[in-house]
Amino acid sequence: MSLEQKINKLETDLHIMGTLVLDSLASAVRALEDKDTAKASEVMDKDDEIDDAYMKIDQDWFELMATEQPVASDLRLSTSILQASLHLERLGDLSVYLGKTTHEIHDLPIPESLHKIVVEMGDMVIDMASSALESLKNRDAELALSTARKDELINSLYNKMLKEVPNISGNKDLYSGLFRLITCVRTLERGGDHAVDICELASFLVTGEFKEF
Amino acid sequence: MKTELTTKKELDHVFTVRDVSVSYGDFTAVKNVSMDMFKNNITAFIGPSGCGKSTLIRSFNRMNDLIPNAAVNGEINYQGINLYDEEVDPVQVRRRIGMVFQKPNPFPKSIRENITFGLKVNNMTDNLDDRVEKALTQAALWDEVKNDLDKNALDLSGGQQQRLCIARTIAVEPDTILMDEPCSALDPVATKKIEDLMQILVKDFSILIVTHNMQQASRVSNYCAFFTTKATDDGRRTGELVEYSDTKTMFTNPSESLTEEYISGRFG
Repeated sequence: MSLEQKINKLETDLHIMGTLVLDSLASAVRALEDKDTAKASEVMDKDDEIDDAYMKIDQDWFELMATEQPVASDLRLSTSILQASLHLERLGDLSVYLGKTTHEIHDLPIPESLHKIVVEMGDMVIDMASSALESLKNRDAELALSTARKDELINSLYNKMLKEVPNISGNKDLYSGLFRLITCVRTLERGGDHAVDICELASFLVTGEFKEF
Repeated sequence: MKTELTTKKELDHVFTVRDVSVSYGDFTAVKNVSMDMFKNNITAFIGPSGCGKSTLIRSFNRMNDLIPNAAVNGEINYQGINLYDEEVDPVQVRRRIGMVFQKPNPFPKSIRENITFGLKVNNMTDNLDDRVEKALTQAALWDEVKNDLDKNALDLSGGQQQRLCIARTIAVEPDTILMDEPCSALDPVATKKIEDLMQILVKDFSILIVTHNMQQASRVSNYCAFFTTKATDDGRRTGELVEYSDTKTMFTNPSESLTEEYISGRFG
């Protein structure tokens, strides 16, 4: 394979991994919404597939560096692919975390309004991750920037949750559920950050300059 | 009587090149080059064969004077002095601006005589033994040859011969060293020794290196100039400077597509 073919393959593998992660996130958020533990277990079982995809990209990138020593746009693209794959792997871990949360809260008495916020944040992370990958694929710096700005909505929902929870009083089971929801939204907030990081890589591919959004 | 080549003022630039073209008879090898080269830095010239990079580097110490029909137009300022001013003595120029060539070319004499020859020509005959030791030490060769100084230089390995040529160059106390593909005849081990040596020498000297090896340019240089050839109306090809930038920018985010194609091996 030529250098160009190797990098193209690396990018194709990244987007295949992206599809796996988006599917996994979607299933995880629906399982959380429906408190469907069977579906949540399926999501957790499929994480190995995502980890394998990540390891393959990591090893292929390593081999590419050792054998081809890419420079200029080849270097920027191959390194951005590696970094994006790491963020996708973490988004895959987020799905596992949502799966665990579903198992933990399905029989606990949690306020419906807070449950809705968590699901809403999950859907936002999916939307952001999907757009981030699209901006990377299409070298679309504008989409990357507009997607990154959506992170403010996730942050505001996160802050809303932090404000509301201390006002709730109840029994041990309620507090146990609230505690899990709080850690879950913290993880979702980090998920938004991973999507923003992928947007930064998309912008870097277009401009050649790395800027934090 | 030629004037002594002295530094007029302290500048950040060792060379200031303005609209320089070099031709051999009616053939222009390289044209319209303008660039500033920084002191105590390594500047690499890269580009395909025939792009004029060796021709240009040879004009920096007036080596082209020795070629019939060679003409340099434009201005090459060396530390504030026009190198081609008629008052400037080319022998003085070559003492201040030394040169190392592609193939190690020691004189067929002893190691010691290789160093002392240039010193004698330049009337630097005081403390000859000290000067020999200093030059060989600076060229990272002293430890290997200190007990064999009367041995014929041609008995040294290729890498040692090249370091001897560097020692011979720096013995006459230049401030700039021009290197024209200094490692292309050497194996990777000898190449690494020369590259390591360059990193030490650059503290005391300004270095210009022509290399075909892009990894070498990216490894050793601080600044990098990419030249290419362009067809002229008469069907011949003339070298031009395409891009000149710091090495990191050149190899991570070059501004010209021609540079990008060349350094990523997609040229042509």
